[in-house]
Amino acid sequence: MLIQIIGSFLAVVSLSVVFGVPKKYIVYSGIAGAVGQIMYFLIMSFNGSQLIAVFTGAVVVALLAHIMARLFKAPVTVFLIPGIIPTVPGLDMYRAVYYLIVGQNSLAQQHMLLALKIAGMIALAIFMVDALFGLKRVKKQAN
Amino acid sequence: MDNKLLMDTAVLAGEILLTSGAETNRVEDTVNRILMTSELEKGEALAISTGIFALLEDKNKIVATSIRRVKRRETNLNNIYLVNNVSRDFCSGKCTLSQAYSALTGIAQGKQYNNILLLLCYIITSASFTLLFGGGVFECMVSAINGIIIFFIGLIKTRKDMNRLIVKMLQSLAMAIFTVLFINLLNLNINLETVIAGSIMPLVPGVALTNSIRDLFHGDYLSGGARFIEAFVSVTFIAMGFGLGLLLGKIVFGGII
Repeated sequence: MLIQIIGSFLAVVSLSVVFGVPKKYIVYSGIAGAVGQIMYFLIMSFNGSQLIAVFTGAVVVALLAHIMARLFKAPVTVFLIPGIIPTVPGLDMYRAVYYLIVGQNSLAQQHMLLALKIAGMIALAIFMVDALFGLKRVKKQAN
Repeated sequence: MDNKLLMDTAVLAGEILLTSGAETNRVEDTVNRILMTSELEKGEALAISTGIFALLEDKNKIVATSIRRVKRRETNLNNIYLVNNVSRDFCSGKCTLSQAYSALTGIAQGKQYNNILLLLCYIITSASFTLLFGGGVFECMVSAINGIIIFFIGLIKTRKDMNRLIVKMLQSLAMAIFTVLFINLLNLNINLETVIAGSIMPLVPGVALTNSIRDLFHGDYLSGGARFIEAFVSVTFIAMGFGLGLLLGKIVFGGII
């Protein structure tokens, strides 16, 4: 598990370079991604439900991205986009296509559905955190 | 205040944001904020995922209008960050209009990382996603070579201006064919799943997906929907690419892929 967390940190850091994140924030976006993955693995080992694990991981990444954006006065996207990528269901996408080619249609459907569910969970997580920070902004304007 | 230059500055800022992969909400907000600094009665901007319209209006008279169609689309989060800084400085009065305009033209030309570093990062991305999916040392090495393939096919896009979807499909196809050939010809005992799933991760449309979600949340259904379709289509093309590669492998080498 430690190796996988280091893997996710490296992955997010190098993706940040590919996406052109400013030099001084690369490490922070890597930290956001790695903490999200730690949460994912923790929930997976306690609960075993992949959907809840993905949701929690994405919520943590989005929260960290919003907090860092406010700390460093940078756009949220800079931290959010690289951080969220490790939760994207690449493995299930692969399996869906693989089983389609091997000819096991029911397994292919199952993995395609799982990939869609995971994407939905990521969307829900980003929605929720955006809404949370949106509330705070409205309050500030009212005062 | 020079209204023509103000309009040019605002629209240039919006154009850089839109080509660099910012959310529509941010584009509109930035252009509006810059337009609002004029002492005219009204400044309004509308951005969709393919262009910007902006208008400066005084009592009974239109002062300036501008339309930009954005065709190029890439991901450069550094540009978003820099435009954000310039617009914040300009709106709080820290820099003048002409300074802001020249800063923005500087952003439009700059490039942050050179190709060697980018190549290195493609290699690390592919290898470390394989590690994340539970691959061993050999799997990571094959993925690292896949990262090199993906990077060099990606260079064609910037040189020849090819369709992005076709390039993504070619990257995914070449990577899958190489992996299948490599494993079967050398007769290695390698888990194909972790290698290919790890190697496609740099191609996954993370920007389109994240932005579509955030656009939809802000009520920009037009841009959000467009971005969502963009993400979906590009996932389909990636899947078609490596699917075709696996199918070829299955035909050539029989059942074992």
